[in-house]
Amino acid sequence: MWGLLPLAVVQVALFVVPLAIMFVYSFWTTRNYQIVPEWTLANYRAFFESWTYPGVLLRTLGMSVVITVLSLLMAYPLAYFIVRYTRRWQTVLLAAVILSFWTSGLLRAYAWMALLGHGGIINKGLRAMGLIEDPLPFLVYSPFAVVLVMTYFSLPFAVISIYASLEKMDWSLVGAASDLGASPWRAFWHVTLPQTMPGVVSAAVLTFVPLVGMFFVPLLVGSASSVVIAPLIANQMQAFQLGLGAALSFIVALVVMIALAASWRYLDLGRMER
Amino acid sequence: MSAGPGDAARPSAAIELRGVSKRFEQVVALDRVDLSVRKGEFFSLLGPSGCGKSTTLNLIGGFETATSGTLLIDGKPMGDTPAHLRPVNTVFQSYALFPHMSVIENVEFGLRMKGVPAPERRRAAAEMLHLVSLDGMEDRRPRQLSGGQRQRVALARALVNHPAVLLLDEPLGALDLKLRKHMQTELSRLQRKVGITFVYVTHDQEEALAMSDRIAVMDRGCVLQVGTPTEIYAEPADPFVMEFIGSPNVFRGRIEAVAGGGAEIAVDEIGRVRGRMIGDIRPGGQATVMVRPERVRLSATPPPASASQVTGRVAKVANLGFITHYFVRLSERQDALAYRLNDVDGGAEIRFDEGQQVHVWWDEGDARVFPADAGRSASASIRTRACETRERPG
Repeated sequence: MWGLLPLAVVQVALFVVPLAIMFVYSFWTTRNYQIVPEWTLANYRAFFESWTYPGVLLRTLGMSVVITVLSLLMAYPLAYFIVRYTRRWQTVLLAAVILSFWTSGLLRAYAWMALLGHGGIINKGLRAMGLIEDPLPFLVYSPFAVVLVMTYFSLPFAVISIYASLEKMDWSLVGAASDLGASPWRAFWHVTLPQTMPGVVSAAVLTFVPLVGMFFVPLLVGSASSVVIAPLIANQMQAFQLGLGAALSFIVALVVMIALAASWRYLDLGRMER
Repeated sequence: MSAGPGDAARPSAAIELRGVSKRFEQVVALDRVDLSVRKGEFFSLLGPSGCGKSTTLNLIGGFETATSGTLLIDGKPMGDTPAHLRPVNTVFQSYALFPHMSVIENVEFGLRMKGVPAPERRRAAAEMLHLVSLDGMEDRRPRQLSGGQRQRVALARALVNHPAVLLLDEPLGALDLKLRKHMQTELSRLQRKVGITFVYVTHDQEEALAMSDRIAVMDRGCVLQVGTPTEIYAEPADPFVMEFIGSPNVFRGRIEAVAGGGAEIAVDEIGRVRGRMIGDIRPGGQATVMVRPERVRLSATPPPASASQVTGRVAKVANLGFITHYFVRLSERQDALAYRLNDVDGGAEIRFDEGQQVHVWWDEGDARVFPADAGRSASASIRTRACETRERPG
């Protein structure tokens, strides 16, 4: 038990303390661009007063869910293919998936702009082929662009986590299912998917949690209709509205914690079943 | 072999293999195997690891595809029929129970795939669990069960579908000896009760002898002999079969004389021994003589002149309770092993001590003489087929 002490210290210092400070700040008053220790509910009232903040938060969550689902839908077949149908290429393919971590996210976001932008490769190409006259309006500076680029950012996390559970899968169970009359699809549905569900859930958590805090991609490729919560919080902080910023942050943290708690049970259960 | 409708089903055969071969790249796992399993029998495929018995089972189950040959189940050619459409079920060596399902959900699975309504399949599954004495375990998870219980769940899960044939892949391998013996009896009882054809793969000769109606002894991708346990034990058609089942005394030597179904073989440093000829034996050739330890007799006085005899010194006596094993040193290189049942009445049986000189002998009819090259071909007329014609993979 005492061996866990350093870990606990780090956790307290880097997670609990900042969160506690944020929590306290969210109940303090901001006056003359300074946070002063006067207790108030004004910051939370400000959140619920207009539709702006809840709306942005809901949109952020909605987009995060969509991106998470898309990532899972793409990651599962990819991970499945890597585990089942490759042998010598397995390491290479996995490395290719991880490779994208080696470059700065900002750089990759700009690279996407070079692809999607009005003067980007796709629009230019389509124009050269005479398929379009004007740049496709939805390709960039749109929710579509945000979802596309963020899905690309999330995919490696999802692939690795699902790969890990597929790799541990006991494939004789699939043989048993087909022996008992299950077609390949039904064997997948009744055996493979439930057996790898812990990996799917952890993939969902690993993609969803960072997505709620997505920051620069919506700023770069998004539009006014795809404003998300993180830049909004940054705005408050930069405008010395520390109290409101803290309240927003805490609400987001709460949402994330609820999502984690919901999946925790499943993750734990999945571990027990093995 | 015409493909007429009348020919398709020989109704007594649950499974038929006609010239089935299986090749894995450079390795021939099965070499033109012919087999016929009768309906309702307990049929064992017996052989050492790598003999092709598991491959045979996988072919029947649909987990492997034959390189050539025909497989019929219930008279219907299987061709490329995938596993999930075959009328067979399997008890896997590792059991392969679904860990995320309860015991009853595991047992129900096959019926669920068939679209049997929930109440009906639940009833059938519960009945089957009763049959394997697992009442009250319905809601447990596989990981909460002992090895023996898991084994029963695997059995119930397969049997509940009433397959034309149940395939069992060394299902008792993971159990300890006592439980294994118990499950052997249990399996035989169950098989008789449900009347389903069992094809049982094992490398354990005792297991095969104890449970089977018929046994196919396999080695290196070939079926060497098919017969009842008694036939396999008492009338081995092949030296491999004889050596694999039981632990016979083996002598190698030159054929000296042949007369009336018997042969006399000269064994270096030991002397002359006799036995019944199996296959093509000619004087001057090399031969292998095998005699089972329970057929070997020991005596202090010379045996009848007609018997085959050698002499030696008792090297070791091992009393195993109901039986005594005598190891008699015949030469520097060879011991003979003889079993003597320990007489319940005491007195009557003559005992020998270590170091004692004894006559070791047997009746001609109790030993079998195989040509030395019989490993593969000599007794082809009795064996299912000759194996030495195995092709080199191209």
